[in-house]
Order: sequence, then C-alpha cells, then structure tokens
Amino acid sequence: MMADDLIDLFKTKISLLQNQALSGGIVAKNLHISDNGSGELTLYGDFTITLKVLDLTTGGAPNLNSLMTFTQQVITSKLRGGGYKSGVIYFEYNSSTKSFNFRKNHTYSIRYNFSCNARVVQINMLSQLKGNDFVLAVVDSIGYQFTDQYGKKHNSGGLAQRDGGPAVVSYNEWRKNKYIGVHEFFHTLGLGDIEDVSKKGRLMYHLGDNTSYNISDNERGDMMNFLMRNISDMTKGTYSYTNLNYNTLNLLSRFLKDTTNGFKYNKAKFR
Amino acid sequence: MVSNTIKLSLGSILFFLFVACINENKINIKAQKKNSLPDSCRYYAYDARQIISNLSCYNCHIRRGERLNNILSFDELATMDSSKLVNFVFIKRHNGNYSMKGAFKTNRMDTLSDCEIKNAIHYIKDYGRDIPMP
Ligand SMILES: [Zn+2]
Repeated sequence: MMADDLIDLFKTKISLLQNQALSGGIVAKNLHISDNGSGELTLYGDFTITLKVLDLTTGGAPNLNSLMTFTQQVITSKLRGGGYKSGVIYFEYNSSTKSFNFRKNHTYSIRYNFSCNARVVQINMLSQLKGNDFVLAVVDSIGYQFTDQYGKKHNSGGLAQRDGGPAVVSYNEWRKNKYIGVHEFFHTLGLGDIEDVSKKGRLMYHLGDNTSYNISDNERGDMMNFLMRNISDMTKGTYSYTNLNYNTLNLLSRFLKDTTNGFKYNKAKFR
Repeated sequence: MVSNTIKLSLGSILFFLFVACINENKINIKAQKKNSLPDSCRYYAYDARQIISNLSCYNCHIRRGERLNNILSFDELATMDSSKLVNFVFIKRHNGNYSMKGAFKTNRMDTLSDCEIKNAIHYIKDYGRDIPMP
C-alpha cells in the first residue's frame, strides 16, 4: 500500500515535470502541408493534447487513476485516423514559398493527417492551471438537469463549456459510465451533443442509453479543425495554442460558482 | 510567448490587408425572401452546427478572440444582432460568392432554406451565450 502510494506520487511528479515543458492544452510539432496541386491540401503534424484533472471531491476519488488512464486511451484512439473536409474556402497556398496568399482565395479539400497523443494528468494545486490549459474537474455531484428534444428530463453526469472551456464530471457518474470524461472533453474540443435516437451508438449521444461510443469521420474532422483552428499557423512548423486572455482557471471558477449548474464539491480544494 | 509575439506581428501586418476571406468576384444575389417559417422548423443544435461545419465558417472566422486576416472571429459574430447577421453575413458580406453562380459553388450559402438560415443564426447567437453542455 505504502509502496503503491509512493509510486503514484512519483508518477504524478514525473507527469508534472513533463508537463512543465508544455504550455497550453495543444502543442504541435513537425507541422507541414503537402499540396497535391489539384485542390487538395494534406496537413501533417504531431499533436500532444494535455488534459489536467482536478479532484474536487469531498471523500476523495480512489478510482481516479484508472478512470484517467481509460480516458487517455480513449481520447488517443478516437483521434486516430485523421479527418477530411471538402469545399473548404481558404486562402491560396503557395507550396514553393510555404505560405498563404491572403489576397487570394481558393477552395480546397483538406485532409488532416495529424498524429495525436493525449495526456491526462492529475494536478494537485490550482497554480498548476495556466492560461488556456484544458481542465476536467471531478466533483461530488451535479444538480443540473436538461430537457431533451423529445421533452424528457435528464440528470447530467458531466457538464462542459464547449470550444476550449472547462469540463466537469460527477465522480459517481463517471464510475458508472467511464466514457463521460471523454464525452465532456470532446465538448471542450468543440463537439456537440446528439439526441437523435437513431444514433445511440455515438459517443456524443447523451441520453444515457448508449449502445456504443463511436466518433464519426465528420466529428473527428471537426476536432482536427479545432486543434488547428488557424490553418495559417501550419506554416510555423511548431505551434502551441496559448491564449492568455482565455483563462481556464477563471472560467472554471465561474463555472463552478454558477448555481444553475448545481455542482457539489469540496470548496476547500478550490482556493 | 514567442508564438504570441509572432502572432501579434503577423496580426499587424495583416491588418493592412483589407481583403477578407472572400473573392474579388462581385455577383449580386437577390435578398433572401422572408417567408413565414413552417411550424416544422425546429432548432437542433447538432444539425445547426453541421451547417456551420459544412460551410467551413470556422476556417476564416476563428472561434474565439483571434482574428485571421482581420476577419471577425466567430465569437464576435455572436455579438451581432440576428437581423444584421442575416443581411451582413449571409447576403452582403460574402459578396454572393457562396451563391449558386458564385465563385464557391460547393458551399451554396443562399441555397440554405429559411429554416436552415434561422437555425444557423440561432447557433451563432448561442455561441456567445456559453450554454453548458451536459
Ligand atoms: Zn454532452
């Protein structure tokens, strides 16, 4: 027991050290574009996506490590396989100068050939949240209820603000459904909820009776588009999306305090 | 920090270029007819998002607080009022390039039904509201 605790402590320390080299939730290296000359651009890059987990539960979360490992594996595997968008109107790319001409438009098909590696790491102090880091806070329970398109009321196992915003999961619900953490994080990566009962096999279906947890090619394409939100940044080679004005800690603080969300958590841990 | 500095200087260079993510071709299209919407026009966020995604709006209107080539970011669009959005975004601003005769036939913006336009506007407006997602 003691040894296990120590190993866990070391693991956390090591991931924290690794994490210090990264800034922001998205770090991309080896970015380059290949132009097939007939309207198709293929975007290449190695992405590291870091999601910081903050345990705000009152009684502690003994299964947190295994839930985090699961979440990390699922995020990585769901982002595998790239994405494709046709009819994308953008600026003309010049492959010899490796730059975009901002005075001329061009319609492209864009193939995302990104290799994505997710890292789900636990943080123990709020000061470990910087800039627009991605965060998943674990709470005791969530009181927020929503009405689906059929008029039925549901409880929420998780709640997130899309497109870079904070995500929150209820520890008990997460234990019951291991995919909730990924579902909420994919809101952070820009995906919306599905309520169409013919799509129960999809990860973003959120009415509780899922038959499977698939991501469509379109959704993957949308997430790739989120990861590389400004395609012209592709020409920089490396890229770290740091938006200092978009402060995750402030957003999370406001999100947690918003009484309409009904979060129950250990407030002493959020100071 | 470095990338921020690059972004800033890139931003100021681009500021002098006034050409947005639009082509020089100017084709006038008729103003959208304001039919009364059928009762069946319901708002589904997922479908509305699909319209935005298919039109590739995000490539030029970068999602939050960051302008590409001085084009309004998506969250800036969300602050415009609905009627202005219909006229400005869907009709005038793109100079008809998204029309059937326009330069970008693949993204026929003016072939969207009134219901689809209404829902796309609804989606854009919601973007500024930060509605929590279960
Ligand atoms: Zn959801």
